[in-house]
Parts: sequence; structure tokens; C-alpha cells
Amino acid sequence: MGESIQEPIAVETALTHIGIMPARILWKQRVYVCTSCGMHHTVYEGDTLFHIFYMTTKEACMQIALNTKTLRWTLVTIEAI
Amino acid sequence: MTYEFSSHQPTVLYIDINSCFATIEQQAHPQFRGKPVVVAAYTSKNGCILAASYEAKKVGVKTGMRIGDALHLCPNTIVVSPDPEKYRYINHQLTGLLHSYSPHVQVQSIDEMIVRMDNAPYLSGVLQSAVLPSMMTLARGIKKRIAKEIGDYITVSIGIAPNAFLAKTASNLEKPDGLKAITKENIRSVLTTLHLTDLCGIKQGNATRLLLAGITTPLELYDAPIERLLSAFHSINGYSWGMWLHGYEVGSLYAPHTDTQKSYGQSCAVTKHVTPHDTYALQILYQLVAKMGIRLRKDRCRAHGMMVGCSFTDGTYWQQRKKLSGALYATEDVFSLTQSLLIQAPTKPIHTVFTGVYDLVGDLYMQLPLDEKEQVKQARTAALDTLVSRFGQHIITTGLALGAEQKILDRIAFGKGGLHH
Repeated sequence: MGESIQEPIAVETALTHIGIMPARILWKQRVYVCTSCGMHHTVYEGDTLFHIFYMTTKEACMQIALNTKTLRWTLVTIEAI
Repeated sequence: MTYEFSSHQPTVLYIDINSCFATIEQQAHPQFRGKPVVVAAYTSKNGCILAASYEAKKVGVKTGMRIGDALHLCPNTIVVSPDPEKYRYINHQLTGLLHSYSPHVQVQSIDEMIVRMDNAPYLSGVLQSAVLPSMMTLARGIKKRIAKEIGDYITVSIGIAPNAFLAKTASNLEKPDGLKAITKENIRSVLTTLHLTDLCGIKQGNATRLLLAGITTPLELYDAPIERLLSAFHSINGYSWGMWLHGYEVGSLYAPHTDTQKSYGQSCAVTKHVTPHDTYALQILYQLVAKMGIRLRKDRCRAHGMMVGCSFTDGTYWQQRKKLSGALYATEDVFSLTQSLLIQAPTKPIHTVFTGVYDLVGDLYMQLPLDEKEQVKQARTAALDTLVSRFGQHIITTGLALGAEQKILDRIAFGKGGLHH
């Protein structure tokens, strides 16, 4: 399993044929280009809806979450490929 | 008297997600694909495996096995904790997809669904002789849509038959990614390839009953007259077995789920060396009761009965029940009673703590209490529940459990119970 990070990140999204998807992730001043999305699902914490994405980049697999109340992205876990 | 095979067309689809939890994890984590993956309740060596990927199954890893044994068989097995939200999401996605074919979609469990296509527009105008080819085309279409809309790594086995029992049997014939049909024409040839225990519902007990009646194979069970089946099972079940094997829909085994909740329970395996009288055991008990209380009140219920128990590391078991004239709903009341019972338990190291409420009445907050203290308690409990629904389950706790690690994790229950949070 990946390493738990729980740090804020910046995410650039793109509109694709399956909806809006993360395209690039900026974490610790490094840009990760997303190559594919393994899965996307939603989860409620209290009444806050989070979108969870499992993204693959050339360097690592990342689980990222979008808090729909604050519109902030979080890097949840990361695992090197 | 013997049975005739049903004249009903094979319009029932049984859809089973292959190695559900493990495949969903492989879908989410592309780095796990093609590797042995197991999903286990606890990732410690004694943790029980809930699902194994096909790569793990190939080397002998099975559901129910301990992690330690799996790692012994296959040292590079990837062990993953369950993520119930992910599995429920896939279940809801698949249910939605299936509803686009028929309004009669029955969710059997987190990974199994029945679709009844009788009277569905898809089959309108289809000749009787063309029903099976149409159903096979439909099943292939469902598989394609699952790959495209839900996940390209998620595969399902689909069974087609005149009733749900045979459709389930058909879905088990080929795994993973299977598609098989059982009809009047091939039922005998299919049954010759199976053992009695391959039939869903026949395990050691029923197999022994049948062996004692001289029935050793599914084909003999299929050919047995009603009287012989009734005497073999010593109950009406004998009649049902004959009907199911001949394509009829009888009994409640695959009937739409209409039961209401009869009890609520929570349990937790304890990893530390603690006895029922230690503070840690009480902290766990509080967390169990708090989660159970939220579920109870969410369904607007109160309970007249409560129980608490533990199993010990020496293999023994202790349990106490209490019936009350007044009904309980507040976490503080349930905890206070369970705590008073738990201290009567023997002082031995605990393996698992469990608690439950039963004898339910669905009248929570329906009547304003006359007693002022009760009014305050009702308002307080409702306010706490509002906090939980707004900020999440772990936002507030009692002083006793403050600082304690959250041990009560979200789990998928077997059967239909796992579909709800």
C-alpha cells in the first residue's frame, strides 16, 4: 500500500470523454503528469462530499481527494512505480 | 411423483463480480494488476482474507485463509485493507447500469445481482426460440459496458437460466469473465460436471442428508422424486430443491428482499492483551456502542433488548443479555448498561468484543416525554447526531474514549447488510 501523505496539492484538470479528470499534479514544487485514472469515486465525510481519484503518473501512483466544500485538493497516498 | 423442467424462458441473469474486493483494488491501483492481491479485514498475520485476486487464487490462496498462511504460499502477496466506500460505489454504479435494461434488478450482496428480463422492452417481440441468443447478446453487451463505464479491469461472470438458482449455478460454471446458460436442453449435461457441494446451499450438512438418502450427485438429485427429496431433507426444503433444479422460482431464497432490520450489532477484534475490566476494553466498547447507536437512531428505532459479550484468546466465550421494559436509544444509556454487564465477564485476555441491540420499535422521537430529564436527553442525543451527520462519525466522543485510537472500522457485511453504511 502507498505511503500516507495528507498534504495539500495543486491540480490542473482537463475535460475528457468521461468527465473532468486530473491532468497534472503539483506537489512539493514538482509537476506530475497524469497518464491514467484507475478509478474515481465519491465519499461523504459528514455532509462534505469528497471526490477520490486514483491517478497514475510516470513516477508514481497517487490517491488524491477533492473537498467539494473548500475546493481544495489533497494528496492522500503515494506509491512509487 | 417427478418434476418436469420449467417451460419458462431463460430470462434471468445472475451477475457476479469476480473476486470483487481484490479486482476493485486492482482497478483502482494499476500497479497491483497481474499480481497476487488479497483484501483482509486486518493486515496482521492472523488477519482473515476477505477476497483474493485470481493471481493469488492460482497459487492456492483462498478466501477465509489467514494472511500468514497466504504469505507462506506466496511471499510476494500484496495485502490491502478493505475500502468499503469504494466497493459500495462500484455496486451502485453496476446497479444503475443494470437498471437501464430492466426495472427488476435485485441486489443480492455487494458483488451479486439478479436481473429479471421478463416483460422487459428488450425482449418484446422476440420469438421464443430467439430468447436465449438475445439474452447471450445482452450479457455480452453488459460486459462491454462494465469495462467501458465502470472499470476495464473489472470482470463479471454471468449466468442465464429460467430461475435465479440455476442462473447462479451457471454463473459459477466459468470464472473469471464467464458467460454460461442453463436450459432444459443442457441441464443434464451441466449437472453431470458438478459435485453436490457445487450447488449453492449444499454444504456438509445437506450433502450428508442426501448421501444418507442415497443421492450422491446433482444429477441424482435432479432425477429424485418429490417423496424421496422430502424424506432426505426431512422438510419442505426437499420440495424446493426439486423445484429450483427444474427451473421454478419458489421459496424466499432469491425472492426480493423485504425484511426489516431486526437487530443491530458491532464487534471488534482486540489486538492488545486486555481483559474485560481494563479501560482499553471499555474504550472499545464505547466506540462499538456509539457506532451502533448512530445506526439505530438513523433508522428511527429504539431497542428493548441489549447484549454484550466477548470471546477470549483461550477459545472460550461469554455473553450477557438484558431485556428492558423501557426502550433504549441514547448511546450513554446503552453504554452504561453494557458496561455494567461487561464487568461481570471473567478476567481473561479478550480476542473479540461484541455488542448488540434487539427487540426494536420504530418510534424514536415520536412522543415528547413528560419527564424534563428525558426531554433534555432527547434534545442532547438529537444534537449530537446532527453534529455527526454534519462533520462525520468521529467528531465527538466521551471523555473515556478521548485520545483512544479509532478501532471500529467501516466494514462490508455479508449479504444485503453490506450495502448500507
